[in-house]
Amino acid sequence: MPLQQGGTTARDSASPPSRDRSTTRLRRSAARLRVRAWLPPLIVLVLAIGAWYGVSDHLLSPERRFLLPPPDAVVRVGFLDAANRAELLAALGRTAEVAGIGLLLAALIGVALAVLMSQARWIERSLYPYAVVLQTVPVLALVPLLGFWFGFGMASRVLVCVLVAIFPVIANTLFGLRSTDGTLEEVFRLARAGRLRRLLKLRLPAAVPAMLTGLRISAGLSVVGAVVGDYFYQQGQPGLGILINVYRARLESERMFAAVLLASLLGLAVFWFFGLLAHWAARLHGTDGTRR
Amino acid sequence: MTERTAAAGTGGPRLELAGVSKVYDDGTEALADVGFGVGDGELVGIVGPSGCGKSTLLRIAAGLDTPTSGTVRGTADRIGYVFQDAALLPWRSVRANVELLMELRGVPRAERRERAAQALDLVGLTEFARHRPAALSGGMRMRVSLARTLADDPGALLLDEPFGALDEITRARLGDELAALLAARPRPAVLVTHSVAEAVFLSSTVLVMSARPGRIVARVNVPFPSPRERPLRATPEFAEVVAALTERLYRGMAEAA
Repeated sequence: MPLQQGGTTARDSASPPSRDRSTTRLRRSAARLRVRAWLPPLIVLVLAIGAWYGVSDHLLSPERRFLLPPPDAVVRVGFLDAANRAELLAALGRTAEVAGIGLLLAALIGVALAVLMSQARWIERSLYPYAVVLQTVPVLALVPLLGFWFGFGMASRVLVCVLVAIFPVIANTLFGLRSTDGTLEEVFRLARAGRLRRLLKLRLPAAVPAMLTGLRISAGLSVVGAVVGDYFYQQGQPGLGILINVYRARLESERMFAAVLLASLLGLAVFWFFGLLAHWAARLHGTDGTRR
Repeated sequence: MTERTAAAGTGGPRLELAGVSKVYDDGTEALADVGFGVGDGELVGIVGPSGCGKSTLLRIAAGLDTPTSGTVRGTADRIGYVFQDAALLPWRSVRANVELLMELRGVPRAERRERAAQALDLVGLTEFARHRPAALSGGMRMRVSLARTLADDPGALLLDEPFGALDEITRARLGDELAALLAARPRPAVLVTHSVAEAVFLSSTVLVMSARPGRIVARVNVPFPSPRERPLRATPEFAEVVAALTERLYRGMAEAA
C-alpha cells in the first residue's frame, strides 16, 4: 500500500547530514584544527631538543659529555654512519619481528580466551583471576625463568611478549563481548538465534572497537617485551635490547642513544598504527555515520 | 506455567493470554490476572499509566518473559516484535539490517534480497538501502526496524511503544504509515502505548490497564472502519473516543492510588 506522503516519506524532521556547500570552509577550518593539534607538541619537541643541547654543550664538561651526547652527534654516529646504521636497522627488524609475532599470538590467544570466558560465567570465574594474576606478577621477574625453561632464543622472547601483552586484549575483548545492546540481544533471542550465530553476527562485531583499544595497548607492551627479552637473553642475532646493552658496556653513548631512539620510535609507530586502525574500523563499524 | 502450542488452523484467537500474573522476585506485583485474545486481523491496543506492566505483558506474550501464573497460547508460528528503540546493527547497511531476521532463519539470499527491497519500498527508504543507521534520523531508523520485522512476515505483530522515543510530529506520521501498512496486509497485532490517541487511531480494540498491579479495567471497541487515514484524527468522533478512554484511564489510576 502506498504511504500517504508519497515521495517525501523518506525524510523526517532531521534529515541526514548533508555534505555539500561550504566544504571549502570546512576544509580550511580542518586545516586550522590540524595546525592547532600539531603545533603545541612540536614546540615542546623543539624546546626539549634545545634543553638537550643546553645540557650537553654547556652543563656537561667535555670529558663527561658521553653521558648525554648532543643530538647531532647521535644522528651522525648512529644513523649517518653506514655500518652503524645497518647494524641498528637489522636489530630493529629483529625486535619488530619478535614484537609482531608476540602481538599476533597475544591477539589470537587473548580473543580466543575472551570468547571462551564470554560463553559462561563459570568459565570466566575460573580463568579471569589468572589473567589478572598474569597482569600483576612482574613479568620481568619471570624472564630469566622462561629462558631457563625454553632456551634463550626466539621462542622465549616471543613468549615474554605474549605474557606482557595479552591482558589488555583479554580484558577489552571480554568487555566488548559483554556490553552488547540488550535490545539487540533480545532481537536475536526472538529469532531463536543460537550461540554461534549470536557470537558471530552480534557480539564479535560489536566487540571490535573495544578489541582494537586493547590491541593498541598490547602493541606498545609487546614492543617493551621484545626489547626486554632481548636485553636479558643476550643470545643469537642481536635485537635492539642486546645492542643497547652492548653499547652501554662499551660506553658508546651515541650509538646507545640511537638504539634507544629507535626502540622508542618503534613503540610510537605501533601505537600510531593501531590508532589509525581503530579510527578506520570505527568508520567501517558505522559509528561515524558515513557511507561505507 | 507457560504453554505454547502451535495448533493448526483453528478459528479461535491467534494469540490468547489467560489469567496472566507476574510477581517479581522482590515481591513486586506487576500484573494481576490479565487475559485477552487477538483474532485474525485484529489490532489490540493497550494503554495504561507508566509502570502498569503493559510492556511486561507484551514481553510475556512474546516469550521474552515468563508469567508467574497463567497461560499464553499462540497459533502464529512467528512473532514479530518491534521495540521502543530501533535496535539496529550499526555496522550493517540498512538493507542488511532489514535482512537480519530472515538471515537468522536461513531464508535464501535471493529471497532475502527481494523481500528486503519490498519492505524498504513499503516504508519509503529504498534510496537509503546502502546507508548505515547512524546516517539516519530517529524516525527513519524506526522505519528500518519496522521494515525488518515486516520483511520477516510474522504471523503476529507485537509493538512495544514503537514510537515512544520519537518527537510528536514524526510519531503521528509513522502512526499514519503503520495504519496503512496494517490495512494493506492485516495480521493480528498488539500495540502497547502510553498515547491514547495513538491506540485509538491504530486499534480495533483498546484495553485500558490500571496502575500497578496492572489489570484490565476496560475493553473498548473502536468503531472506525479500516483503513484509517490522517483526517480521522481531526474528527469530533475520534476526539470523543479518545476523551472517553482518557477518562477511563484516569479513573483506573485513581482506583489504584
